[in-house]
Amino acid sequence: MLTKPLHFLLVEDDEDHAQLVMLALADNRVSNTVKHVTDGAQALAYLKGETPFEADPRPDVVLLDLKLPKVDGQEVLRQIKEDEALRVIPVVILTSSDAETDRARAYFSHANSFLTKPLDFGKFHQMIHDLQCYWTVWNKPPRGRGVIRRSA
Amino acid sequence: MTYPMHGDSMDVNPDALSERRRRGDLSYLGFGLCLAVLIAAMGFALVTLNDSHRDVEWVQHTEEVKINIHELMLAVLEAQTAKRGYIITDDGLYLSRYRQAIDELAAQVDLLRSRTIDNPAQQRRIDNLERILQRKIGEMAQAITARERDGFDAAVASVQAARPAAAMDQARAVMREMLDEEERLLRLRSDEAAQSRWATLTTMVAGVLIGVLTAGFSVWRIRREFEYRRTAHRAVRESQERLSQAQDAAQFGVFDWDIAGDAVYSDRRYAALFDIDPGRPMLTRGDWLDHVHPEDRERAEHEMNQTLEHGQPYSSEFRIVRPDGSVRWVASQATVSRDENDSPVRAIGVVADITDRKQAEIALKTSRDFTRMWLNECTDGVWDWNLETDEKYMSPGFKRLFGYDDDELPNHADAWREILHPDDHETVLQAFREHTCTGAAYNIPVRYRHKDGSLVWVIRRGVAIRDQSGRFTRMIGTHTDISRLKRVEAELQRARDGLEATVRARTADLRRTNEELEQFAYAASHDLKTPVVTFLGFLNMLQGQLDAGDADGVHDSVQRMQRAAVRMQRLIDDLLEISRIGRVVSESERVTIADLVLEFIEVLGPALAEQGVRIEIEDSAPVVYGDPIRLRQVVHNLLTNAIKYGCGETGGVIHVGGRAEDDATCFYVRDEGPGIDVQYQDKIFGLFQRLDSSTDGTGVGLAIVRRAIECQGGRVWVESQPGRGATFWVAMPDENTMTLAA
Repeated sequence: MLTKPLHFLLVEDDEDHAQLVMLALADNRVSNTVKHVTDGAQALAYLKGETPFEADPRPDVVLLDLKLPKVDGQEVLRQIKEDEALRVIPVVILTSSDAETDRARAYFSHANSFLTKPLDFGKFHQMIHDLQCYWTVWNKPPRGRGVIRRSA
Repeated sequence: MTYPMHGDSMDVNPDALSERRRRGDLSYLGFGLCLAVLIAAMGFALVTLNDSHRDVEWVQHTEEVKINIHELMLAVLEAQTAKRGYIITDDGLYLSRYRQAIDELAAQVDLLRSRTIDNPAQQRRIDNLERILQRKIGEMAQAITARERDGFDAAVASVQAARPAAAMDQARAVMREMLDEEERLLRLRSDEAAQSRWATLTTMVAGVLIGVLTAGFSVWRIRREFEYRRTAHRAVRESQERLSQAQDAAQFGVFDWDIAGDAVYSDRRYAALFDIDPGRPMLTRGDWLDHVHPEDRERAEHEMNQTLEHGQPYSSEFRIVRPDGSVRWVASQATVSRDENDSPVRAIGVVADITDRKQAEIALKTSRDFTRMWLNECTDGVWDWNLETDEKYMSPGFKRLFGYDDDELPNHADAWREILHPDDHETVLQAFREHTCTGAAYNIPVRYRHKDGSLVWVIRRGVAIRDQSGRFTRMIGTHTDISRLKRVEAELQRARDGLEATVRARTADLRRTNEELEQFAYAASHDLKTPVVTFLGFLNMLQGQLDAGDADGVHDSVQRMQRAAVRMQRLIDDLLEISRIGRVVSESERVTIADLVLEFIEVLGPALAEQGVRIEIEDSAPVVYGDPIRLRQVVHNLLTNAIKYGCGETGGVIHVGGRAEDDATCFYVRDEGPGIDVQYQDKIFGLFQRLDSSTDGTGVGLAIVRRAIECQGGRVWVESQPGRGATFWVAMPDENTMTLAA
């Protein structure tokens, strides 16, 4: 089965957590790529191809933490899903929170998935692994990803 | 027996009384006149009768005198005849006859003299006659003597010498005169007698006529009087019957108290009133007093004594206790009669049962007292409005409500309108219209202007009253002062407003606390978890790195784990701090902000210098009133915040100053850093909110500042523009405005 590598956008303010996620993603045979930004404002700027991200590729999947400085994850999600050009990008919420309100809000805002970071690193690792498999192998997005990059 | 009567119980009036008396007098006068006339007539008759009798006597007397004269004449003739016989015959028989005739003659003269003793003229004639007769008798005696002595011839010569016929003629002439005189007298007296008889007859007839007329008149008068008296008597009887009936109806008892004998006589009504045996009435004053109610006894006795001693008319009202124990009110009136020493001897009076009236009186008095007291003393005002004349009675209480004395405010609607608040005239009019048109209750709160100028709130209640024709002509009602109520209401409203504000504030507080709690829970599930995930993740990795002999990897992992642990600790510390901020309260005092800043500089002085940070305290840095421990925390956090986010690698200057507002004192901490975008300015005070993930803040510092200040009734905000630094403001309420905030 031939799979095309995916480009992930990791939005995570905690450096250590970002490190852990990226390590987990790297531990795979698939040569996916990851872009890490540390707050919501940067994430939106990246997605919209704004300065300084004009040259960066558009992500196939967004891994979004909820607790973010400046613009928090829920707001980022809302803006993505309200933007016709961006709403097709799957957004996976990856958060420490398992608060019901966070889940409800995220789903209400059309999050594509909601994952809570397990304290246990084995499970954490497994989850990231499965996540990558799922979006890389099993998930079939429309051709050409159904999206054309916004003409800037 | 005369009782003092009430009113017109007998239809006798003074005019009628005197009229009747006058008529009675007239009758007596008529009667007396009649009697007098009869007596006069009789007296006159008697007098006339007497006159008549005298007249007859006089006639008789005259006859007797005439006979006397004739007898005298006869005696003279007899004596002359006897003398002649003797002379002629010388017979002794003639001589004795002569002597008898002389004696007879003397007796007749004496008789005549005595019979005409009342007539001097006749007496004179008798004297004359006597002289003549003496001479005659002397002549005869000479002749007789001549005869006896000288014989016949001598005697004849003596007679012839004496011329006896002349003496005889003289005597006869005198006697004739006397007879004529008597005849004249007889005629005169007969005339008088006739006249007297006529007068008597006339008088008698006239007297009888007058007597009969007067008697007739008197009879007529008497009949009339009798008729009148019969009518009057009937009237009196009817009156007495009426009185009796009235007495029955009024339970009107009569008593008659013989004071000297101390015995009380009473009628059956009196007995009925006192409920005593009519056969055995009260006997003494003591018995009477025994029946008087004990509470009234002293007074009743006193009043009775006043009457007895000072002659005041007795009129008293008191209670009596009847044998069955029931109490009745009675009115008693009496008149007292006195003897010549002015001592009371008898009291006659009436007693009436006035229980019902008295009870009504007492009820009325109670009612009047109540009304008077109500009008005068009651704090409610009462008004009575004549809608036709616009007169408006306002009770003293009414006027007092507005500070006026009773005489200061005329009882007229104009005066009332003067003190009624101008804005409420329409209200009153409208309420009146509704009341009279729809029958809606007239019950409105209105305002009045008090004499002292203050406002008086009143509940005005009333009811309009129709006359027979159905028009509203009168309105009465009350005023109740509700100023106090209004004040309380206003206070209550203020309190309620305050309460609502407090509730709103508290609700907001609660909401914020809830939000904070949620944020706290969120933090517990996120921020506290984050270092744990890090720690466990790298701990796991450390295992592999150690196995692989990856020294750099081990070092990196250990460092990350250390940072996570430190961060964890700081988070816990901050969370403890923020929870303490809300709980621990110190006494508020005046705190000099500059001192707190200096304290901070003293502790962190070397570190600041190393970072190139300078803190400048402006003169405007104020003294605020608040919890010194919290304020120290606030100043510390703001300065730390300014150093951390407001100063770059090369350091910077931080200003601390302030200003005074109306009821608060403000201070600020200003940095010259990158500033904060307007959209984040509210957010930065939220728990765990950070704008920059590159620094090692926990996102709790400013949340602590807000909580510490808001707990004390103050507020915090930030003024900033990107690139121009940020000024964090804290406003603390002044000391005297702390009441609600505390």
